Amino acid sequence: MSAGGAPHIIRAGSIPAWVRVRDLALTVAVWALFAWWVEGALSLIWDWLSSPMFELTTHAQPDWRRMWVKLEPFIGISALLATWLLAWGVYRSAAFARLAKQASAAPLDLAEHASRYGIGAEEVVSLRQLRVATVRVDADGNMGLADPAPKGDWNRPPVA
Amino acid sequence: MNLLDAVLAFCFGYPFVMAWYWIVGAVVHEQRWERHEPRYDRPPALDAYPPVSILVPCFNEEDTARETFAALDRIEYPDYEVIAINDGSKDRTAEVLAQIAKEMPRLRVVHLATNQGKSTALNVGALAANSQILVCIDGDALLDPRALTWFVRRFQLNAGLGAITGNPRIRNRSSLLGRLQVGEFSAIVGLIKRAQTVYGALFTVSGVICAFRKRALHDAGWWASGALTDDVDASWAIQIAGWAITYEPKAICWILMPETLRGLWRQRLRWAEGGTQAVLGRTASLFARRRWRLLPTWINFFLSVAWAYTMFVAILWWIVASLAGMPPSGASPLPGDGGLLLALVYFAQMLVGVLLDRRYEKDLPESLFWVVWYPLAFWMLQAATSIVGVPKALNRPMHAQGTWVSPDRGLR
Repeated sequence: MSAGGAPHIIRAGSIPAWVRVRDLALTVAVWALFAWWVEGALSLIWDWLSSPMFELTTHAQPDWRRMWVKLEPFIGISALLATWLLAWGVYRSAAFARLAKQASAAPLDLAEHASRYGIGAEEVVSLRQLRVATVRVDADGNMGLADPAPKGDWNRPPVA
Repeated sequence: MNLLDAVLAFCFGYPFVMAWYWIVGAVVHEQRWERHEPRYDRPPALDAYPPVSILVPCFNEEDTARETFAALDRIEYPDYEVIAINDGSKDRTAEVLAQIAKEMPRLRVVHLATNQGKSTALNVGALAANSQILVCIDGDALLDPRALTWFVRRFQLNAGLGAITGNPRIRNRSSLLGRLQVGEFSAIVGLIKRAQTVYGALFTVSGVICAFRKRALHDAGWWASGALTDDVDASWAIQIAGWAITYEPKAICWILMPETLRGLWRQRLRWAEGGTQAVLGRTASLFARRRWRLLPTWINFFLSVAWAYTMFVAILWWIVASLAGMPPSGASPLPGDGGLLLALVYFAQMLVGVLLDRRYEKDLPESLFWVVWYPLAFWMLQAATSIVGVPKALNRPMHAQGTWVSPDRGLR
């Protein structure tokens, strides 16, 4: 990881040069294909932006009305949903602010947590003090410490 | 409007409408929750620094563990422990973890005798954890040093938050597939998470980087051992239990994604199968507990599945009609006017995603060059995983363990 915290991006050197060239060429080709597909719209925009600007000189005026009729329901639904999201977002923001003022939830009690997995609280305390442990889990999801943990200086509670 | 017109309208309308919905939601999120925030690499001082436990489930991570835990040793937070859960690895993960633990005093290692799946590994890790706040990352991910501070800050600002999803950024960009996913994580994942945060119900946290309150997980029944996508399942359970989830884009984690077609297919298929399994599994409790806030997210999930099937039928229809020498009908696999308009809308979505995420990764605009593949090919891959994943989820045995083998982690 670099000093700024961002790790080096992996751009494998092991990839053969021909694969890199292939990826690049294919992607350029797909962009070209896409441009060819939308050539009509691109030339229209070009015409509109060329001198005299904001006028169509070589193209006929597109049938905006027909396009609008086709797209109107989808644009309408999009606008409706976006408006609803905005309104709901404002409402949720207020609800979030109310939650923020609540007292923090009670921490999870160790015994309560332990009972969920059919393990004694004392055993969980032991588990939490070990640096290396083996846990067994049965078919019902009950847990327990398995083998005795390795002994030795380094298997002590972690340093905070 | 006849049936075919309705089918074609849905094929076009669903992605068109949702793209604008995600864009608007993401822009609102940026204005409301990101614009006035400090830079991600300059987190503010907190009033208190409660202890945090970082859980790292590891299954066959001998190649990546050293790098992952070295990053965790550089976290800029005063009080944290790291718990590696060795989920019955078959390679040398156990020895590697033992070696790292000797050099890293904060690291604790919990071994499971057999591979139990990520959910069970996380449950074991949570039981071993000394803190009330749990941060979960994958065994091949690199956590940004400031991420814990951002997570804790969010929890301190809102007592009702049960979970927070972080911001996964892709490291490996060696192949076309790798580069393509860089853009996808901004334009699709990032935008959806932002919009869903504005709305107040998230489909899922990112399992590779997320944080939880222990109390919220306990109320939700912890991670379900049979879940194929532990993150989706836990997200729904937590929200149904009444807790909120939010997105913290400043909590960054650098991740590896598959860069082979086979690996990508396997990963996305598991996501589709697991997502279906989780949503279907939680539907009864959603309605029983009347969590209507989740309903739009629930409906959108089924619409996305329906879209995949509708596209499949419409394309099949077109192929059959063409082969039979009938006049063209259905959806052509080659984009027509509607398809091109959808592609343009997708590029707009991508542009917004990149502009918003540029503050977390300044080189991101480079990824725009590769996104042309997304509307042409990647969408189809996503739809195909849905088509295959849904029946797989429906046929999955009720008590099957949620175990899987990770796909490739990119090319080096």
